[in-house]
Amino acid sequence: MNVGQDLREKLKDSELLKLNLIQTDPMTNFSSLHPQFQTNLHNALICGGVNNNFGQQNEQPDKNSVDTKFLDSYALEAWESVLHYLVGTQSRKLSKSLLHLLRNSGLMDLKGDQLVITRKGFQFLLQDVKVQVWAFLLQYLDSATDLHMDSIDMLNFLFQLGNLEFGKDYSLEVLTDTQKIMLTELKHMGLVYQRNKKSSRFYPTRLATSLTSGQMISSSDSSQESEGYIVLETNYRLYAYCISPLQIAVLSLFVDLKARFPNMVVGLITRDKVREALEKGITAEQIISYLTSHAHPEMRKSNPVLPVTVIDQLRLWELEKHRIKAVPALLFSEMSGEQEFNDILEIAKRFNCLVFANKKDRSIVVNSEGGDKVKSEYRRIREERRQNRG
Amino acid sequence: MSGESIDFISVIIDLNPYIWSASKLSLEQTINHILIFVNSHVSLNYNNQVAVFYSHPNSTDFLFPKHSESLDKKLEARNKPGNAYKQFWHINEQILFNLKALASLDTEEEEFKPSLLSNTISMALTYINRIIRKYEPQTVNSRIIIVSVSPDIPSQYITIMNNIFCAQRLMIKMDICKLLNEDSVFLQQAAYLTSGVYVKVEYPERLIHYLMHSFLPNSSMRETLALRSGDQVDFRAACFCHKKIVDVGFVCSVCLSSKEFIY
Repeated sequence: MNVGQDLREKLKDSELLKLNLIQTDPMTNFSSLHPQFQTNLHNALICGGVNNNFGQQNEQPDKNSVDTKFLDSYALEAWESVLHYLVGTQSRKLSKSLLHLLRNSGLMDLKGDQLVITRKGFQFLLQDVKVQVWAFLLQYLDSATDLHMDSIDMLNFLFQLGNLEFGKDYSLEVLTDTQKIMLTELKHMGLVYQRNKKSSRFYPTRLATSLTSGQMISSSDSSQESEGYIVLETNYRLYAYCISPLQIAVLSLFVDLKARFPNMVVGLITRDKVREALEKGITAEQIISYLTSHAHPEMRKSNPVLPVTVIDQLRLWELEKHRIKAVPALLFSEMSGEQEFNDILEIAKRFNCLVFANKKDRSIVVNSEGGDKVKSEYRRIREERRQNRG
Repeated sequence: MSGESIDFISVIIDLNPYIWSASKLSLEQTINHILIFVNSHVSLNYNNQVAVFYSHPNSTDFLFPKHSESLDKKLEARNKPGNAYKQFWHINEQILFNLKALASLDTEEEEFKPSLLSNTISMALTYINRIIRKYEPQTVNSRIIIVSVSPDIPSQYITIMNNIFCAQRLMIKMDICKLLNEDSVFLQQAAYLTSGVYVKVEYPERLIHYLMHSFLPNSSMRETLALRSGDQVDFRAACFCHKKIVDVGFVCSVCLSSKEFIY
């Protein structure tokens, strides 16, 4: 019994308990897996069961089957069009619900009658595609209740998508109505491909099948420019071999672009430009990781990939912003004498709320939580002294 | 993400046809248990990886990963059932396919021939070494799990000991699951020297329980679990020249080989 108690203490804050995968019996103190989870895990391990949890493949081969290359380019195009819209280099109109999502997630905001990118949107751009997709999907789940859709059903479908096989086609028949609505949405994002609205089969793209796997997919991973394209020199000069307006737009967030050639752009990382980016809420760490993950193969031959001077300088520029730290506080000044100063100092130290003290001009700063405490305590001491004297 | 370590297990299955045909235990069932065990290992973490080897009197090779054109064709023709998890299904189908290919090669022979266990272990070790190099600088925690059915073969003593020392150096644990026959002296020592576990399966038809409880937890988890450890390890060595297990022997002071007699 003792062991059970012990274990229960340990389990109290565990993730498994929060996820409701483990339940403890308060009477006997025994912990066990949630029965439903147990049966489903069991089914998964023995590849059995009846729920078709991992997607029903079509029996007949598709007459109009598509290959993996097509799916990759389709997914890339669809996802990039979302990003393009975000940076305002849009050529294609997005679907209404996607626009709604962009606004709801705080990535874009209405200014006048036009949507413009927000601080959060800039941060979003520098993240890995997978993080971006997940952020989007989470937002979609959140808004599901407004659209009167069953979020459990949706989540179920998302996890199922992650387990499907890339390049295979799956049947629409087993999907619920909610999931069919979702499918059209995901089609716009490039997670699945459906030839036309009436088609009874869909193909998951790499964006979907990697949802639940650990690896990161960088945006250009599946395209022709699978290699990185950024060359960064120690003199802060940056050469980027890219033609996509999206990539150039992202780069221009923190690079002062000087020249543009048919296949490359040249720019300089400057303090002003980086500070501008920092103001937008982008962190130095995000810039560094973006540069690292898109570094040119020639750059990758050296270790570390990026010149140390530039990395350090980026971090220093970020630190500049944090030179001053503001703390809400209370100032005690114009004290009557040495005695009073020492008393208050003593009390402030005792309550552990001293922020700053200057003996010369007799001023003491305590943080806002401690202010009242110090005041009343000092009053009490003064009262006590007066009584003693009297 | 890349900072996480990789748990890699190599499962070695002893497929000695003489022993399996003589025992009451069904090979099919045992393989099914092992497949479920492999699935559970893979499901614990997406970084987890697995390799499966077989050890046979005539040959030793991979069961997984081992691609062949005929396998790819077969998988292409068959759709994955809706209830099977992608990764599990690929591993299981590959193992079963390779097993069937092996079974079709088997010819009947009268005499008992020992499995090439030491060769299989060497193969597993070299493969692990390759995996470690492939994933540098990530750390790879690797284990070898041997499902053994054959008795000790004294002629393999030297090679098995060499394998053990190699595993020790590479910090690879050797876990032994002794399924049939009496305790194995060599494998007990292997588990002891590499700080793995040695489990003698008393009810072979419940193999999955033994596998799940004793072999699934990785090294860091084992610290917090009360696992069965070998109570008594038999440290007898085999004579280098006569290949016999001896109770009392002599050790050569120059080459440290153990001998039954002095000449």
